[in-house]
Amino acid sequence: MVKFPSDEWIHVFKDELNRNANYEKTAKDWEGDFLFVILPDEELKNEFKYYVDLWHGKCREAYRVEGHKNTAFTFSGSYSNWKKVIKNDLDPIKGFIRGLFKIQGDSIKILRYVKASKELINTASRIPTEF
Amino acid sequence: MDSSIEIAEKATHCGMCRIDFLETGLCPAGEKKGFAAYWPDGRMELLLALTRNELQPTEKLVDIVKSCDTCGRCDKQCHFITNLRPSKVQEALKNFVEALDEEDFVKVKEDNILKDLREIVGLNWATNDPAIIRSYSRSIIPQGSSNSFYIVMPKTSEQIVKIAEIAKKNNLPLRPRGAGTFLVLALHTLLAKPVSIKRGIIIDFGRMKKIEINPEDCTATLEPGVTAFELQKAAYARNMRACVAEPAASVCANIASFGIISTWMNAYGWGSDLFVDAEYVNEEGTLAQLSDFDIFNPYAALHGPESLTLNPTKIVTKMTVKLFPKTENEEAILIPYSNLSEALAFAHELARKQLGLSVAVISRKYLSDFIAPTNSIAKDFNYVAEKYLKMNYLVDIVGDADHIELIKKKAGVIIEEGMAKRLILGVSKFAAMKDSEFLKILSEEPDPLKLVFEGPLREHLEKMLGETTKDVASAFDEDMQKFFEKVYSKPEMTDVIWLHSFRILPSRMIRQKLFMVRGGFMQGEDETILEVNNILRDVGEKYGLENALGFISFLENGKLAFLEYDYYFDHNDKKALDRLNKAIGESLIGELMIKNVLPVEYVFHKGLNRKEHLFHPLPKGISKEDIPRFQEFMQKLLSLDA
Repeated sequence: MVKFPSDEWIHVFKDELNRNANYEKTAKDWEGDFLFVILPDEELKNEFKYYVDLWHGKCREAYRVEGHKNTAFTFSGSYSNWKKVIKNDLDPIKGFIRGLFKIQGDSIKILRYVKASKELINTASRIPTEF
Repeated sequence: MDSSIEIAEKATHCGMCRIDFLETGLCPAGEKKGFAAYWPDGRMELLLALTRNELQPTEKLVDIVKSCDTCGRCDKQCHFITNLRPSKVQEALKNFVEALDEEDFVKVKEDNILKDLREIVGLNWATNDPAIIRSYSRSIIPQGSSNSFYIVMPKTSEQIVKIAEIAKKNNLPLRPRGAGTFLVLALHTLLAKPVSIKRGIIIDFGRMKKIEINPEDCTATLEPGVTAFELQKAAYARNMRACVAEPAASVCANIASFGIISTWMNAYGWGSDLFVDAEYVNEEGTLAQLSDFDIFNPYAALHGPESLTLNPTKIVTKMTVKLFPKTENEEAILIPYSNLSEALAFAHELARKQLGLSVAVISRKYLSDFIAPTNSIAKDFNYVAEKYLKMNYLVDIVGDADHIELIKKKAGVIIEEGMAKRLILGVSKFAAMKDSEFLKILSEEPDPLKLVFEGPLREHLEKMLGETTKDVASAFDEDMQKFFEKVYSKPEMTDVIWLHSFRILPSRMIRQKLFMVRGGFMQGEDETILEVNNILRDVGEKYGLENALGFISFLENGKLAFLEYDYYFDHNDKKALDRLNKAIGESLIGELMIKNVLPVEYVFHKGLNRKEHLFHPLPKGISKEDIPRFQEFMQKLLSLDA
């Protein structure tokens, strides 16, 4: 079991994603790095940030970030909502539509890659995660 | 040549090339010479006639061809509305005429009638030349008619009286032509015979374009050649507004024929509500005023299913119309709905409470056709709106800012002017999302409209639609994109209130296709309105016609309603025309059977009547037993020449 959020979790995620052929296919034209922001709530005390560099269906880099980091996109939501997404209980696009997650950057570009974003979540949900 | 013939066939003669709505200036030849043949739409009819061997070239044809200096203004105007390029037609026409031999041309003789007409209006303003006659095809003369016509362009009412005398003396039917915008639709249908003439004198009002604004009593006195656009422009310059119909339509003809059907009728009224007085030539050929003390009651109207008037009984030669003051702070909003009954109930409530000036329920199709620069973008946006957003109807309101504030409090989701502007500029981006996975997910949400226009997606939508003119301009032909970028950068082209007043975008309803207006006036009861809508929809579906609600608006604080429903058709498809004709007949009977409904046919040429005479009492509705008699009456009426 890998704890979420943790340094280890994002490394496992990177390896899993690079093994996901469906992700590679659906994101083959994608260029852009993300900052995934896990906002504190009743269950999480401090903010947690992951840097994830996605490039043509592969994850080039993924690590925890402390402090400021410029990225093309930011996807942020509360810990409890991230938990739902990783458990595959909440589609991240639906989460965005309902205002549970916020996107900074060219949101329309992300919305063109709905299938790829689903594969990102499928990958995350396959990681045996401990919350 | 093939593509030019295709353009000419697809042309719908909306008349927009005769008003300077893009500020390009008008066709110089058309302005100078007047007759339809010198305007882009007339040239289209000439090319069709020549290539179909239906017109023997005349010497006038050479003058018509030479008069075009290929300035390209018509391309810009026509392309904006219909996506067609009339200059290609002119080029083909020129090539055709230049390839003719001298002996191919016939000389047209001046007969005594023409001589008399020319004595009245001058040598250049009356003709019996077949090339000129043929250019009026489809806008007053049915295609394939004989050349037994005289076309006259008078300058004064007195000249019209004299023309009427000549018509009477020679037993010739006399018919005025406004802009021909309604006849373009009707002449393709079963109405063609009764609304047109086989021979006679046609009066083209193109030279009678004087407008006099009377600011002290908020009126305008105008001649019959003045178009809605021209009047509105003059009114706007004095901070007033006219209640007008299609921008290219003649105001006088439009009031006399239809009474002005508009979303502004909610506040400004209909028919005789809109004018103070009219000067006209009556059936005896003499000049009269509606305000004359000793004339026969001009407002009296017959009632019953056989009270159809398919031809004008008066030739309106001058009219003093009411103008309405604009308020300081007008605003516009759209309130989207997925179902008609809810939209109708909301709009009706506004009408009852006198909230808003222009108030109407409009359909998704109207919005799509109006804002989209091409048919394919309109189709895709319509799909996105229906399938994903579930935005099927919109309550469309222009009103004083204080009233709009009150309305906003009652409304659910609101599309404000800023968002409407972005929709106009970014419609192609929205349309391009028709296969988007994201929109599929969005459509699964219980209220996609709220999420998109008011929820967390709003800022993203605004960003996506943007405010640049480049996207919308890129939908047009490449060589005109720069020009259209400039057009869309003019504030008025995205000013929702200006667009409602000048009605530029609705002309896109006849972008390479036509439509037949159905519906009519009825008691302001939602059940009745919905019943009419459903009958018209069912008949349209039965005959495989593209069909949609146009709009619903109100009169007298919602006591009366008007519903326009449209059957769209390809005017070059004979089978579609057959189906359309059947649908017209069946939908008319369907409407007549509903209590308190006056189908739109029953207000034809009754715009000068007082509306109280027409709408009170509303019909009780015919029974099944009455149908055979009515059908017999219609058969007879439709087979009669005017």
